[in-house]
Amino acid sequence: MTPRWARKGRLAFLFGTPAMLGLITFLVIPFAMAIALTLTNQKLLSPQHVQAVGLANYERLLGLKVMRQDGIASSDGHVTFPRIRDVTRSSPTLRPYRPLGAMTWESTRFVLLARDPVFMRSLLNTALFAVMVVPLQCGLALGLALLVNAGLCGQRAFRTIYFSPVVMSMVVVAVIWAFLFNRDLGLVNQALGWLSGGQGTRIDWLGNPATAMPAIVIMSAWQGAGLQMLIFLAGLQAIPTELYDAARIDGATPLQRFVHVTLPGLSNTIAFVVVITTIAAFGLFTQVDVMTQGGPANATSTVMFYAIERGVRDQDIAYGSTVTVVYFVLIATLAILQQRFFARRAGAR
Amino acid sequence: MPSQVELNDVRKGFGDRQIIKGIDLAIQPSEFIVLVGPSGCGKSTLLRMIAGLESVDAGEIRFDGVVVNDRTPAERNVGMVFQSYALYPHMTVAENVGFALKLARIDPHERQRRVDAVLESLQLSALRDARPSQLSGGQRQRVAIGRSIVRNPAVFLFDEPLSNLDTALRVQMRLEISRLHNRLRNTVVYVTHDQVEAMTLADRIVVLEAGTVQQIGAPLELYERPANRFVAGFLGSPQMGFLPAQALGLNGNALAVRIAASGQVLAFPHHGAHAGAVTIGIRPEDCTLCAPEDGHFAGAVLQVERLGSDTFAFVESTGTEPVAVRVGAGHTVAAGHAVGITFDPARAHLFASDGVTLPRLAA
Amino acid sequence: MRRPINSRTAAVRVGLYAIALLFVIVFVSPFVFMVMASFKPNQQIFGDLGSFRAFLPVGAVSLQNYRDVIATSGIGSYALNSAFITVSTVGAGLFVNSLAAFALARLEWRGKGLVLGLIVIMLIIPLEAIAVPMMLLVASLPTLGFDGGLTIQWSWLDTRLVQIVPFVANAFSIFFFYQAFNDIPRDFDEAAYVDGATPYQVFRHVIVPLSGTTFATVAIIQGLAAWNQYLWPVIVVPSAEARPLMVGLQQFFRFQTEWGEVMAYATLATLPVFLAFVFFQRWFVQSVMGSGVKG
Repeated sequence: MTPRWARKGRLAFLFGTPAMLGLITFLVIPFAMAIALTLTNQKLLSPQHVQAVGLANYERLLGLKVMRQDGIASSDGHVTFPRIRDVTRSSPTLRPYRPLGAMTWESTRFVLLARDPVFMRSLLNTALFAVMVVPLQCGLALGLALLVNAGLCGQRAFRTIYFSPVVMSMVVVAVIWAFLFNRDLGLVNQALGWLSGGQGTRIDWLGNPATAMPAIVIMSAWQGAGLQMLIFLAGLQAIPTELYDAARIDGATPLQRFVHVTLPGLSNTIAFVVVITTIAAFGLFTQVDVMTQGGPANATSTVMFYAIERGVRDQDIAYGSTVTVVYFVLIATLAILQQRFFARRAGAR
Repeated sequence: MPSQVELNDVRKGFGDRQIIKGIDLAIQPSEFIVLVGPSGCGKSTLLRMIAGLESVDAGEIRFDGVVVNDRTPAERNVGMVFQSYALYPHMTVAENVGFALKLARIDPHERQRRVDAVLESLQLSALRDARPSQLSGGQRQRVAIGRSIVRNPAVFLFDEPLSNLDTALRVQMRLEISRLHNRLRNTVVYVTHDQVEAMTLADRIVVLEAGTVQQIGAPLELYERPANRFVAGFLGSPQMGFLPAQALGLNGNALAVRIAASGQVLAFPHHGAHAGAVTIGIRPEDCTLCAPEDGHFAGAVLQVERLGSDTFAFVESTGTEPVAVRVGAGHTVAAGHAVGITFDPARAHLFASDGVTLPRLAA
Repeated sequence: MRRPINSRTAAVRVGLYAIALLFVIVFVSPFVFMVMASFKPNQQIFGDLGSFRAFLPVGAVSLQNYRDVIATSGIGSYALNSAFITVSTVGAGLFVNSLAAFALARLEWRGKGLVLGLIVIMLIIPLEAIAVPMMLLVASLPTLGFDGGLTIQWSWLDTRLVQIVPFVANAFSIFFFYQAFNDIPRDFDEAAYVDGATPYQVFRHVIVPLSGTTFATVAIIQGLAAWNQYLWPVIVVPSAEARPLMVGLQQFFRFQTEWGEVMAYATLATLPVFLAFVFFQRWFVQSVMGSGVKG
């Protein structure tokens, strides 16, 4: 315990106030506002009074229904279904819903309806992006870290070069890659054509709904992997060299040393890297905003992009906030689940 | 002006654990006091309380009669040398020494004059622009001392200052600190776990154990008249030997004591009536080796340490810890030999079952 | 490291160098392409795309794109905005956050543990999650202006202020400083207190000089974030006056077909970061490695 003269409550208050004031004003209050606003119909500029609307925003955002349609078999055995729009329009409960997808099974059709199909699409896109980019980026980063750590001459130079895209603005990177992905002239297609000996068709990377998201995944992994590489390097360097020496004396092959020394030694680092990469992936915005504006056909619309579209460009603050709150709950849940998963794996070992 | 320092029933705990359990101590101006004890005894905490770096839970610390419990270290006007030296790595030697003067807004000319004087007196002038990382251990030690004397502190505090130095340097710095004290005559409180430092530097030694004072006194007084078994065992190297025994009461003018290991009864001429279990304590230099059948007790030599100037034999008997015996440097005793030990009961110590020394009668 | 040299390990090493160099090409070529294209007229960029000429300064190389982009895109004022925003955020941020971290790491006061816990919780709230309500908040904050007389404007939208103030206090910076300060031995503080220092003097003369690397690291992290900021200005700075460089690039890119000029803009926007990276790359690397291990 420190002596009384060193107990500096008032001084600590003085020193801490500017920072705490900033954090409270621009982090705590907006966070509380985010939650409160979702229960209202707040617009940025609106002559109307703000009203409490309960959970209406959440219903509008997350509302899902499955509709079952029985087909009408025509005389030639062909099964037809009523037009979905006709059905939803005529039913008061289904009226606000739009079709998201359908599955036909013999003479029955199940239609998935959503209040806000664009959000659902964005959510799916974001999850898809994360599922692709997290393993790609983390794997690339681990590979680069091992390469840099292999004791090559000039390893510092390699490290610096691999890391360099990280410090560059994502806007700049997205602009460059928009050229690289160009269908007719882009270097990506040129390189693919050169590798396949002129075979294969040119891909319209950003213009095709099927390839737009993978294109963004490749670019994002390229831009970000250097960061995770450095974190992995720090983890690798924290593994005592004695462990490798001991494994050599025990006769372990390089692969065995990797499996039994490197991977266990990196387990905490891997967990950390996967969690931060996942969180970052779910915040995907800049690349989309610069390169595709959510298109084509909403194929690259993401949760954050959608939140900004609704909340800022449409000035529907309440609804945009609802999207961001859902986003926060999502990443918090994911982070906790991943932590648990890695903690259990570590405990089982 | 050197200060008088007084501690009245000073107490401190961390959570439930009592570290300092009520210490009374009066330090005279210009006195060199050494706080000594095993690690964890509370000696560093006590020093930091005197410095003003730790709070005092109860009791008073007075400097020249004034209670200073709530004063800052600077207000108490103490100088302190830390175990790690705590030299600021980003400052030169001169800046380190002059930092306190700079904080006190002493004008630059005066500051430089005083820093130069201190550096001169510690033979550091040539290193004035060096950084701490460029100095040897002994030089860092001197800079740390210089930093603490530049303000002419009323009380000078050392926290195990020599523990990071090698043996030769330690002896040299011990002499320098002693010379410095003779020159400056500050009041010094010095913490160490090294009994040689304590014995050689102190005017008075304070032996601490488990947060309480075991004994306060001049070095030789503690060595020759330890107040209890702990002090007796703590000072002296090799340690005092201890023999379990039974006091049988007065026999004529002497106390009859039976050694448990041999059953022999010895007469202790300087002790009064006592009965029950006791421990006999004998210094290595007070023991003599002899044939097993001639000794007050007998045992086997466990180990022989030859230090050149002295040789110590460690003898184990039934039911005793090894007892150290000083023999001539050329003595041929070897491990495994069966030997006897004799000693003069007049030079031996007796401790009651609670560890307290049985009072000696005036001769 | 001692390794037995034989032909197999030599082959492995050659292979490793080949892979390492391949990745160098992968990571560097887009930037080389950007810089080279910025010196070439549109026609030649297209013409060079099919060959290695795209990565070489050949043909009609000139500074014409740069002249045009500086004249037409407003890049000059955007760059000034970004520089002002970055310098202000970093300067104020270093002071405010380090002082708060000092109070947390080195001063004794009640409720310290609670505040520290809150800061750790704040670490996990991303800007994205609060950006929309924050727009509503800053839209109703007052600013003082001087326009012939003193004026109060009830909105921070479309200002440089709104791009600075919310990012000065930073939970990550505070936490990073806090951890670094905790690694400094307390003996230094105590020696300074014995020397008669006040807590602020301990901060100013002992903690700050001993934390140069930490300050550099935090400056880099906060500065990079400020310079590359995109999402927030997109939300709160719709018009051109306070627009930062990166939003300017996005606008220019969307409404421009002159590829050479876009590349010139991108090159100019990257140049300061690139120079900083070249000169301070040790600290860039440390900033990530330090934060990663501890995080």
